[in-house]
Amino acid sequence: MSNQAFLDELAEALDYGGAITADSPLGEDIWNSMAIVSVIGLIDEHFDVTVPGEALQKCATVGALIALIEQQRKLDGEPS
Amino acid sequence: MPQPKAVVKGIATHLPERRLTNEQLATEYGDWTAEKIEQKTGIVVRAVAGPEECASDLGYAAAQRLFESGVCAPADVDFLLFCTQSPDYFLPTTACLLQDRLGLPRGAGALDFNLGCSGFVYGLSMAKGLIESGQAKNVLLITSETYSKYIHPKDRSARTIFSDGAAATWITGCDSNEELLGPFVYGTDGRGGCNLIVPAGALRTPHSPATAREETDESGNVRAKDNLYMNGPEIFNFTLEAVHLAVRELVAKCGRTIADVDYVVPHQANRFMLDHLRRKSKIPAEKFCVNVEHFGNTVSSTIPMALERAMQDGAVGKGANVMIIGFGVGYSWSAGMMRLAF
Repeated sequence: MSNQAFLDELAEALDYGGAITADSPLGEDIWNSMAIVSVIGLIDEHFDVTVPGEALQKCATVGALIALIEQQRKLDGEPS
Repeated sequence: MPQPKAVVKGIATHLPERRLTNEQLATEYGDWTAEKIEQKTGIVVRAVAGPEECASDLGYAAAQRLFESGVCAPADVDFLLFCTQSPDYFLPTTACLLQDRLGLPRGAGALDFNLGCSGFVYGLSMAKGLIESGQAKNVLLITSETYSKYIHPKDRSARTIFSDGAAATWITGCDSNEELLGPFVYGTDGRGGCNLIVPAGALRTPHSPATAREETDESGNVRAKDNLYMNGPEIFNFTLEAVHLAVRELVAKCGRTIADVDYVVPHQANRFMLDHLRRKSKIPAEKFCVNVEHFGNTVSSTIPMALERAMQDGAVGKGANVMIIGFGVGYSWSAGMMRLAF
């Protein structure tokens, strides 16, 4: 899921100075309320899942964020 | 005589005089420029009620404007529906005070209902019920909020979004073979109540020194339990899940597709959220009303305000088949159809 379009838009949504890769850190100061909402929207648009704001805030790297999305997709994919 | 069909015949709106601009917000908070605030929220200016100005005052002004337009007169009102979450008093009912102040007949029914961003759509659906069941000929629906009174001056996230204002809408009965107002779909999920709330000040948790204690959240917003709290990310998640399903349910109930709808007026929460909802619901941009820049999020009055503005701008006109969608605090949501007849 190294969707480059998603990563580019993620960099824009977070006002990230420069390109984003899976190793890019997401420090606590990045997660203001507008950033959280922007990224929730971005994830919904690209992957059709909604992630809780609290879980998002705990992501310290882009890799952790991608893992969270995959986990949520699995949860959504399970028959209820 | 055939059963009358309810139809919306007029809308008038009112904003209090005071303004809160992006420049003022940028000066107060420092970390975001005015351009950035506009880019993120789509809002240019908000209205703020004065210290002596309550929901009934804003509603009164909107209703006077409606009467001055000539579409109706106070003596014509059979029923007043007043929607607010910031009433003048716990009791009496604001609608009763407005009956007297507006000079409505003593034979009129009047009630308040407590809903936020879904309130306008619910109000129209109740007006339809009153008219089409023969209980009222004419219904005056007033939506009015002064959320600013709940918001802490240092809560940037809420102050940037919300605005005070009111709208008065005239619903009457007419002979028609076609449904001119409705159908409607509804939704409720009280699990989300804690995500948009004024925790203290009513009877569950009365005001006290403890509820007035200020706290700073991780984004630097300051508020006490006496103030409005909004969990923006969770509200956004709720709208992402609920709104496009409501749209789908409504077009199915009409036996139509979204292509048959001429224009969509969603609750004007903020531009970011609306752009996202539009893409998710697969509605073309030219059919989807976003004009939140002029008045901010006035809660239950954004839909009539946005519709009035869109009509003035020529984006939509008489005869159009319009979908309206309200969603927010509660959680509560509703969507409905209305044929523009004014």
